[in-house]
Amino acid sequence: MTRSIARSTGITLTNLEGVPGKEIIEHYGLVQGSTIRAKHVGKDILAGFKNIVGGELKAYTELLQESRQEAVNRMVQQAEQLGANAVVNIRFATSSVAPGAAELFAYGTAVKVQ
Amino acid sequence: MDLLVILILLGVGYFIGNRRERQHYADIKRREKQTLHVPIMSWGAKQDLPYAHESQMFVGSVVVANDYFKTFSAGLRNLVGGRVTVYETLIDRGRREAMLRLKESAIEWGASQVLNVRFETSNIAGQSQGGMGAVEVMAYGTGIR
Amino acid sequence: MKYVPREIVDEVNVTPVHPLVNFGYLVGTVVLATLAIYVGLGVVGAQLATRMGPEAEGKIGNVIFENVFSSMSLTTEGTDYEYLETLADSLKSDALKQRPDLKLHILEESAPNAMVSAGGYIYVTQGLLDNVESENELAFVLAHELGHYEHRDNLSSIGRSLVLLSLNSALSASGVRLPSFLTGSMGLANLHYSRDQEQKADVYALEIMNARYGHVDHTLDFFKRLNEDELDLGIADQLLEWQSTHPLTESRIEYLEDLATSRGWAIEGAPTELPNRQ
Repeated sequence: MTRSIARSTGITLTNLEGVPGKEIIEHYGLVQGSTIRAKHVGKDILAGFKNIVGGELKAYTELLQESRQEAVNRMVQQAEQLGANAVVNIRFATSSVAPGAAELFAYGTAVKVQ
Repeated sequence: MDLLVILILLGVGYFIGNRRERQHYADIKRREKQTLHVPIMSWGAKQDLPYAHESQMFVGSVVVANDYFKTFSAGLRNLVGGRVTVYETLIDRGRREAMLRLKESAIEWGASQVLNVRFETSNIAGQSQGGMGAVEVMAYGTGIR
Repeated sequence: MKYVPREIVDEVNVTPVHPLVNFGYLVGTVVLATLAIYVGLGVVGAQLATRMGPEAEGKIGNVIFENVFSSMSLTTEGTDYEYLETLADSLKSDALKQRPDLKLHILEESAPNAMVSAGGYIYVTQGLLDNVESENELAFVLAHELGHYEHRDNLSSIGRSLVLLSLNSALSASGVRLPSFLTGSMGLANLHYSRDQEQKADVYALEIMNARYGHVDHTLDFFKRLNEDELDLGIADQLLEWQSTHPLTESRIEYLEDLATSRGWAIEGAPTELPNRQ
């Protein structure tokens, strides 16, 4: 199980300021992807039980991973539209916008490398 | 009757929660030793990396939940004030677990180092009145090889 | 730059304290602080109750009457009422003459009960009037309530519940709920208090009975008859909990009989008849 978020795209993703071993020749500015997800009631009830004994909430971990992947995919789509082949200096942010719903946000700079 | 339910929940929360915590810590320490050979650092964004040929970004994340005993202790702590020691272990576990997951997937890919690691912690409100029902900790960074 | 893999052995981000020790400390601190506050405010409440002038007491009594009793069906006339008022007034001690006048009400309830509220409000249920068989019995019940009134038990119990209420509301305003076991132990402390007060009122009433009739016979017959029934001779604002806040009737009777014997009061005598009622 690899947790790489660069799933089958031709685009290199990194949170460094450049792409190691390659030189940036053009940059296209900020690209961003975000998604807001709510957990469903069934998971919430299970989580309620889990709150008695503690430990990892696997369902939530997976849900958030999936959502974050979606945010990244959206960001990659933007980068593709711009004709970039890499996104550098990526940052993540998570915020809960309403009870039970969270926004997953990813942003970075779209660039073209050699 | 109410008191009995609370006591049972406290007991269950304490014994199971505490056992899991010890198991988790043992697991974390074992894996940390295993992955010690790959350096992980919070710098590397601006340096020249002449030895790097390929790079890829990795994310490790985990959602950890409170047990009833911790919630109750923290509720009392809210009245007294001071260090909430029961949550310290919870957050510590989450952070180390997230970092290990990041590191393990980078190692699987063949990374020789993980650079520019950042952490992000967010509160996943439980079903009732917010507060610290569960916490998501994520770590992300770029692996190079 | 060379990477030297080294392990971090010490846990610096985690306080090395056993969770149960921590828990014990927390529970202890919270319970002690709550008790200290509770007792402290209770003392303040009691001081307030003993120093309250007749005017302030009357005002409080009116407020309680408006809020609690004015909606019930009350009777303040008739031969029963007049007889009751004369009887109650004749039982008043010198100290009571300095306090607001007695305001007697007959409650249209079938359960035998009597209570006193701040400001001299005395409530007697129709059920009690129907149940008593001699004047001695009725006079004892009335004197018991007058005892609560003279000892200002009703006032101090209000002071205490005011303290409880303000404590709870202050905490809930800051978003903190008191754990339910804490509120439970508060109730227990209250119970002890009011048992003590009940006994004092009993002794007070029995002394009056002895002075009035020259013996204490028949005064407790009413209790004996209703031993197994639910009986309340309590304070108005504790109506809900009275079963637990009142000493067992049996032990109450035993205590009073022992007291009468040890003080050498006559325990035999003829009952004073009630006036003819419709």
